[in-house]
Amino acid sequence: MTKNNQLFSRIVFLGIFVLAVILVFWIGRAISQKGDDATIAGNFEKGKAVLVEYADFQCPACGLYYPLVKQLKEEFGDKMELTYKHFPLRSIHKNADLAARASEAALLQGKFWEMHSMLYEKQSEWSNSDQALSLFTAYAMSIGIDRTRFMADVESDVVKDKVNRDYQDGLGLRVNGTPTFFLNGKKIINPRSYDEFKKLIQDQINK
Amino acid sequence: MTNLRNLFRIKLTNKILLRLMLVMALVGIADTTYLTTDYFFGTGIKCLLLEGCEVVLTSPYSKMFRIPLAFFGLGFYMLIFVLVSAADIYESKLVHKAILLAGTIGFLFSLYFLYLQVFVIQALCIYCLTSLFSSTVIFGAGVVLYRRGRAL
Repeated sequence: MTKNNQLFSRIVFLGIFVLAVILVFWIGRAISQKGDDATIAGNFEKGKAVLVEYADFQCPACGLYYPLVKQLKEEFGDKMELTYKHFPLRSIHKNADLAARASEAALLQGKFWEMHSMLYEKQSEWSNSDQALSLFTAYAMSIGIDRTRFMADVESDVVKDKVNRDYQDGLGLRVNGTPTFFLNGKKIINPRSYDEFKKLIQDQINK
Repeated sequence: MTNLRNLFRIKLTNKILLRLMLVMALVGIADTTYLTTDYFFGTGIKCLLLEGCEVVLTSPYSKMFRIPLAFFGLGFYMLIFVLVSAADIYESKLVHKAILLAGTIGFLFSLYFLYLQVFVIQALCIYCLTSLFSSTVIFGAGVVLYRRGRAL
């Protein structure tokens, strides 16, 4: 084999190698999507989009999606129903479970969404803190939540059970990472941008 | 005779270095191909068992002229693969120079990306670290090859 031929065959090998990597990636993706058949049952109204988000307050990716989801809700208003479900990744996020409980304790005083926003906006402040509970209490008080009741609710079984139930539901729906979104019951691939997300919701409303 | 043996030893070691660089280039190619494909057709960012990647890969620093850096990385590793193959086959010193030049540029970029991850984005991405590892090995091997070439 001449030297030029040798070089040529190496370049061919390189091309095959790149294609093989792409192929492996595609097969992996197809297999993981095949397992995504789980759906949330329900009667969905025409002209309305129901978005369910399984998320973890301490997850950076959820933090990245927070402003997008907030903007979607503002844009679509009543046409989009948003449900937030807890899926705390306890093994890698030490304060995720407590944060989920803090939001549920806030719900008991009618301030879930205010607390939800607070937790995401201040994510970097409390994520690795050893004083997460005092930070959460301070956030709660700043949005007008009663401190004593909040402290008791965070530790209550009602709140703990709610978070656990969400987590178990998520496992049942084969949620394996956060955030995971279900649009009108069907799991969707996380959109790459606001416009992509908006289009998905709009298409659902137009259906 | 000793000289001949020395020459043989150097040549053999050079071969091994070149093979090592080829393997590292393939590692880099697999890594950047995955990231590029994921960028264009990916399943979106998620927090799984290992995190940090999603923060790094969605940061504004992950793109240049709206093209993911991984794509440039892919081009770099393909160039290294071709250059190293050429050095292996033609045994040309000029190619050694080109490898050193490309390897140095790649290595400096990798260091800059490490700086961005540690001090600016404050999150580490395993794929970027893999690329740092392979570009460092390529750079190191490139320096050794070039110096040997000059000594010969």
